Amino acid sequence: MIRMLPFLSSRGWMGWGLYAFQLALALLFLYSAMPKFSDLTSFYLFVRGMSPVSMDFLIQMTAYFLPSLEVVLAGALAVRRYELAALGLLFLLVLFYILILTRAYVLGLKVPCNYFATEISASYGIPRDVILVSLLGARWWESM
Amino acid sequence: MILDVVMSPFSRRLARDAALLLAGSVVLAGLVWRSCGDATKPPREVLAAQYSPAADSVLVVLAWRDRSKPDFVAHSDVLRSVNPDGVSFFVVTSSYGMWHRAVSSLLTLQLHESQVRRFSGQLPIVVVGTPTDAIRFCWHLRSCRFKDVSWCAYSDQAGWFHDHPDFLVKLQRSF
Repeated sequence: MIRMLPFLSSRGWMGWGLYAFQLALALLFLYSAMPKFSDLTSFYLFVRGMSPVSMDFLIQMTAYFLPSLEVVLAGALAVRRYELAALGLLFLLVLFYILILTRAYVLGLKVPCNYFATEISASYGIPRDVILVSLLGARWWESM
Repeated sequence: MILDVVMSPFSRRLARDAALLLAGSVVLAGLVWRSCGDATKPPREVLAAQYSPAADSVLVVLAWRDRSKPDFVAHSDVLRSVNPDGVSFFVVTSSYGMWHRAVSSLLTLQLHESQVRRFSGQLPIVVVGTPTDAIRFCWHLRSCRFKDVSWCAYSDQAGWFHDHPDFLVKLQRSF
């Protein structure tokens, strides 16, 4: 097994630790993408409501693209292919989420429906995403 | 200096990898679109829903993007004449914040007990407004909090209330 994953054998326990951390990040993004895929209608309505633009075509594209991006990037992290690019894109993606949530917080919007299985507010989502973006940034920096 | 960094083999490889990942995501999104169909279109039953005079009690939602339009003013005037306090009808626009507030208001509606009981069960909701706003809001209600709502009709006809006097009578009774 280890021979199949040379990056682990060459880095020893430190490599395993970092990989476990990265795998946890990948699972987190997969966990985040699944409810969106399983209820695309609700996610589309969510994007529509949060979007500062009103172009429906763009909003539809975004509703399909964001969970797909999360799955692809999580997969890349899990198998450690295109790792740096995946970490960088996830970093930018979470920054984008923070911007959207900050806007929602300023405007007093909340996230209804069963998005993330429960009703969450921007005041909860922003600190969560700031922690996440810090972890991604640290992992990206370490990989450089 | 900056150009050297941008044009370095490392940066070019990073950009190429990022482009590959983005392209993969676009392909996956396209596959989901093809296999699941367009989830962003309101379902047929929402589009086909119509007001049924058989309902005992109704809740009205006005959905207008532009609240200065004569149609909106006319409809809200009719509602106010039926219900001067303006408690039991809601005005929503296409703004998500308004939608959310309307849904929250629906949940915490201060009606007397019989209406609350009816509402928690099968209280019909009539959404009157522009096609886009009314259909979207109806759909939002169905897909979000009110999966058990029996129906959610909409109309964009000017003077719709006047064309449905039975509706106004029932509305008056329910207040």
